[in-house]
Amino acid sequence: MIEAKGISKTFGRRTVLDKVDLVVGDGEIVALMGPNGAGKTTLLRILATLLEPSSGEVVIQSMKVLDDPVIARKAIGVIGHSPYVYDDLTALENLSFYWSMYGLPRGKSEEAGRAMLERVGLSHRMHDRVAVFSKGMRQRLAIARALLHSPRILLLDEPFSSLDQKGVDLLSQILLEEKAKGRSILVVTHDVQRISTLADRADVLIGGRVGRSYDSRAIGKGELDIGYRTSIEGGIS
Amino acid sequence: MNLKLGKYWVWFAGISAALMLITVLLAVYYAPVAASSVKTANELFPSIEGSTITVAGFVADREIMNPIRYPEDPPVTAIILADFSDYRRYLDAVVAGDLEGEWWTVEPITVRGPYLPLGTNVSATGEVVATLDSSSFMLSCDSSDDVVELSSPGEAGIMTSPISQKIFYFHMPSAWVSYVGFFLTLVFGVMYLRTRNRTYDRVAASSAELGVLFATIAIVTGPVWAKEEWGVYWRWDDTKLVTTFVMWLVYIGYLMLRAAVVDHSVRARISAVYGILGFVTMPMSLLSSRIAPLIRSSHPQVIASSSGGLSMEAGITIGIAVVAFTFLFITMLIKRVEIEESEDELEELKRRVGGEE
Amino acid sequence: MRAALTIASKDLKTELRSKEMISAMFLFSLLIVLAFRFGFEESVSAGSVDMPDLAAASLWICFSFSAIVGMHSSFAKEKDRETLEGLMLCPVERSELYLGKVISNMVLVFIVDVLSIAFFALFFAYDYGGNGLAVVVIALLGTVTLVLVGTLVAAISVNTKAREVLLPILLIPLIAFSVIMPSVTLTGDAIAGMATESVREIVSIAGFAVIFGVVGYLTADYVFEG
Repeated sequence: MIEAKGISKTFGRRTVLDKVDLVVGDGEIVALMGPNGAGKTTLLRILATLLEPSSGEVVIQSMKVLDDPVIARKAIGVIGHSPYVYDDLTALENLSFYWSMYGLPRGKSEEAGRAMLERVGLSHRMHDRVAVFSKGMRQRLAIARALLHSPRILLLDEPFSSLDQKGVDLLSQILLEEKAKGRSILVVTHDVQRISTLADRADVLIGGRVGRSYDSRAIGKGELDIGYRTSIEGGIS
Repeated sequence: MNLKLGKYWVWFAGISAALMLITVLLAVYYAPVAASSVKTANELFPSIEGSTITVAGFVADREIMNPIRYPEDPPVTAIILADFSDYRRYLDAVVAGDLEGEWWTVEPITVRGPYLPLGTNVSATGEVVATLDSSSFMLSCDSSDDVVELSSPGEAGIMTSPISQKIFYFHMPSAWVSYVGFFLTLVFGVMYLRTRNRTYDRVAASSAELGVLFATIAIVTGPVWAKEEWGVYWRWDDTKLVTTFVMWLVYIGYLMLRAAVVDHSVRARISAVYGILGFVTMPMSLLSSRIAPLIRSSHPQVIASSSGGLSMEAGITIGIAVVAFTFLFITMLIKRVEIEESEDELEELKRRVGGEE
Repeated sequence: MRAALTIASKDLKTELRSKEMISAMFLFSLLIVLAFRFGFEESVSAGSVDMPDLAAASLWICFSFSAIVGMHSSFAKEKDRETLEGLMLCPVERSELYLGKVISNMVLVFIVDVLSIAFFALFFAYDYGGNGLAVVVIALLGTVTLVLVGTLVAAISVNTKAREVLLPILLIPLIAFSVIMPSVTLTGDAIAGMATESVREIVSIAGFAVIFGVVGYLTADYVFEG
């Protein structure tokens, strides 16, 4: 479970996030939506410990993140705008590198890396350098990297972008599997249709605040679709 | 902190201005080294007027253009020359080989101070007691004594000429205030990192800026002083000069670093770290003239030194000058921080008018 | 420590494949030696130049500037390819990131140092006269201090707009007294065969290594953020 309590973030005098509260429970997929500049990525970066909030706190499994960000990072898996992989290393070497960086047991990295690449459908390319990978393949590798250390919390920023249909389906399936394992999953996305089938809840962030929250029932009825459109329009004007 | 002090800036400015005025008055009327007080050898020693035996010099086998000596330099042989009116002329004469009169070679001198004119006592067989300072060679003579003594008056090497004396009252306080500025940059940088309070960052930036300003004054006035006292504008082998110069470069770098970052929180964070790193050069610069045996320096030791200290009059004047400059610095710092704040406010207003919100 | 070594070995492995940094550093130092060779052509031919002094000075210009090129790109690469953020997500202390970069930079800079020493001998037809090893050891000592401070400053300057220009501007004043001056003295003495007399320089370089290392270790949290 990851919980944001009254998170505010100001850059200079500009307030990007204004006392945002957000909870992603165990085994829950929450979509974080909102117009451009609403502070989605900033919130995600704060949750991922890449950014310190100006006020408020992030709590993971009843532990305050700021008390020990190093421990907190072990529990977090992130798919960001960039895949965070090295062009000059092979897919498997990239995973081995992160395996070691996460302090996971030596000697098992190869095995775990292979299994993970299998899972994202890259096992046939595992000895190829990432430099020759397409964007979609990099994104798959990024998924493998994020899941490598079996994090309890997954923070995904537009994870479906640059994936082909097969990849999108694969990721959806992986997310459902992870959800079944009791992971807390937060997905930042604009893809209302895709997320409607996945998310248990959708929070819409507007002007640095959680504007509305839709539960799974509302999402099922298509309220999110309509509501989201109006809120984006509202956000822009 | 700053807002509270800010109200009193007029007082600080007033105190500073008053003390500056006092400094100038003292420099002119109380503690001057008048040109007339430097007696010529002829005035001092009428008994040997016109004789060929005159002033004590030095330098036998080493480079002649450099009258400043280091403790580890080998002992030199003192030479007594015919023409003594001015040591620079004396040096010229030596270089030109244009020497008149008789050379007296005495016993090797043991040099104690960082350079010869400063507190040097020489015993040798002969009939002359010589006093030496660096702006003009003076000879004190006691013909009844069989000792040659080279010694310098208390102020030797710091302010032996009227020009260097007056410059020193501005040079030294400027240098002091610039050190204070750089130190505050460190302190407020650390405080910013701890609290992320933007005001601390503004103070750090402003004091670095003022530090650079005052260091520039010190670096410009220093060579004028040095030319008078040492006969050269700059000494690349003097650690204090060179470290101060390098420190000046470090903080110009600090200001350039700040100018090259757009995001204010990144700017504050990384420049605070660079401020800490840059301060590593500071103790070296300050200490370098105190640990002369370890690192070469011929810079005067103003604070707590026995041979190169100041006379009481000069000491009082310099003390008041330092206080005056410190208040000037505080006044300017308060105003500079306020300007920074206004700039941020302006930026914010511009952004709002631009309709970005 | 494991993370630091992991980063260092990752850096060296990618470098072994791409040779991006080392080729740039190597060419840069080659050109500096060449520039000195041309610049001192007349006096070297006439034998009127003090070779230990010239060697010491030109070698340390090579070492410092090629190190600046290398240390800059070690961060610029990670920043531009956004892998720096990936490193920040890892559950390791920021000081380990710093340490890892220090180790990999040290290895690369030292390799280039050794090559520069060899090229100096080649271009100037100069024989270090049995003191070559001492020169290499001094290069290693100076490089440790240089890289400890340089890596930190490179991590700072990589956040700025004019980072290529800014790194030397920020770094050179810091290393002037801590590294370059004592190392040049030391190298000159070593070539002249009297390095044993320069204990003060060795202590000074090592002392600064400690100072820079401690500052880097303590401030890494603030340098690598966001």
